[in-house]
Amino acid sequence: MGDIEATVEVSVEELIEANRKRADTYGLLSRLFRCEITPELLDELHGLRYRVSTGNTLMDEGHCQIATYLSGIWANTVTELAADYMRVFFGHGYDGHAAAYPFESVYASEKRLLMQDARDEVLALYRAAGLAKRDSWKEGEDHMALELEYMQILVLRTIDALQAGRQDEAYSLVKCQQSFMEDHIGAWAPLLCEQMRTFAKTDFYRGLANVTEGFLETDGRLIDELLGA
Amino acid sequence: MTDFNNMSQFDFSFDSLSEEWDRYDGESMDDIGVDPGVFLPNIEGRTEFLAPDAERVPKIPNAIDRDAPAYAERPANERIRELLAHMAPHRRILLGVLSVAVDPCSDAVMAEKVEGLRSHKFSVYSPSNICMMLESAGALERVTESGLPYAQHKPVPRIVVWNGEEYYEPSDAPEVYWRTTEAGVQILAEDDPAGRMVRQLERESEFKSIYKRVLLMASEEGGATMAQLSAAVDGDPLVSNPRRFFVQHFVEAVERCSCVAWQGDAWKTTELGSRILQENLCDVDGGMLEEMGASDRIPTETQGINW
Repeated sequence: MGDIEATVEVSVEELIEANRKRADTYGLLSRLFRCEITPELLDELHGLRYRVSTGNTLMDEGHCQIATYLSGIWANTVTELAADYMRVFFGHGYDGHAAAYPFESVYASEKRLLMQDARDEVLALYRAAGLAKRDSWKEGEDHMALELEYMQILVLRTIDALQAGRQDEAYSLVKCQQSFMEDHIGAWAPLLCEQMRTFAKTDFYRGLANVTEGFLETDGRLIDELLGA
Repeated sequence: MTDFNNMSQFDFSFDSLSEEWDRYDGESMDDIGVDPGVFLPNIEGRTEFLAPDAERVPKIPNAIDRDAPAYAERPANERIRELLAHMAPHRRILLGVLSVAVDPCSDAVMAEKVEGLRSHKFSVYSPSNICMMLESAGALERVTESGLPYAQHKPVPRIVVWNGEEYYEPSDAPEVYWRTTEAGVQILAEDDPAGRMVRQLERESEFKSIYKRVLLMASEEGGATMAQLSAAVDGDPLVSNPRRFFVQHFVEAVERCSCVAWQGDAWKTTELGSRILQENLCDVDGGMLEEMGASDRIPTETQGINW
């Protein structure tokens, strides 16, 4: 096991703060993929600031698209977003090409089927991490929302480990994030996001695609740096 | 205003299998191949990640793509008539909206008006849905309070500096007002519920007595309930032997022609309905009305239908 603090020249407090931001972003993205936008969430999103320049072109474009869309919200926006969510992630027809299906299995099986090996793999990882889906979750475990949330949980655990001075555990958890990023979420998210840009009719979901892809790119590099790769 | 990265916590989709996260033992994912304590996936059939084929996106046959440029290029009158035909049960509401918006009307006021128009009916369409459909068909347009086309307003977020960094901050959009277009006004002027009712009576001339019975019963003090109308109509040999229609067919037909209106607890004949009775149905025998009329003795269950 390595020493996470030794591989990067930042203080533990700075690491904790950076990881908090990562966890919050993973949490927000997970929520946006999980289900439609509620009026309360729309208000909250309207009240946020979106960084103009993040150093990642996709994220910058996504922030601009989302902030611009949110500058035009009116009475029909929640309905419009709900319709676009359905259009983007559910679509019509059943031959596997009608939407940006948010399941890893679809992108990892030739026939674009749900509940394939990719789902079994991530399910095994969740269980090994002591996690089980809530009864209210009726979709496959390889849904983008759950994979993002899994990353969030790993990051939160990293924060706990850092705060408790358990450096080896923190290092191990970041390694887990790196593996999950390389083998799962980071591998298929660009395909999903490309599809989202094709099917979305609102700048909100086009922006979400750009922010997600850009954030995962950036975070993948950050993880590599943290581990001194 | 909050930083994007300080978004509040969200509900989790996961339950922790362990009692508390704090007690998480820090098991490494790297060790999963040894013995994770769960089944291991069979990855033999696993492929590389595959991009979808854009050419294979299915098309819905005969669907009207209202977002397509070709749709917008069709004459507005044609699109509005098509919408009214496709949404015949909502015709009264759609035309009511056009009537309200002849003078620009704010979205909030319009929502109240629509709710008022359908006060006794449930609908899955929100007022905004209805206005958007009419807008798409070219019958309504969104304008600002000063009457300028709303499309001229381009939403632009503010740029603010916070902690030395630039951020987009969503701005507030101007209030939406609805205005009926010229094509919408023309369709509104063309609307002729009396003519439609006359044509309906001509089309179904063999059922004139049924129509008269429905309108007469609904003209009674307090109107007529569906149960009363059903008792008076559904057993009539004209419709029951062989079975051709139930009473709803006739009630819906006269409602779409604005000859009856639902008053919350009963159907009531409108002024137009009374005029149709006098001018077009005066010579028709209303049939069983005297025997079966709006009586308390009428059963509420007929032909297996429980109202």
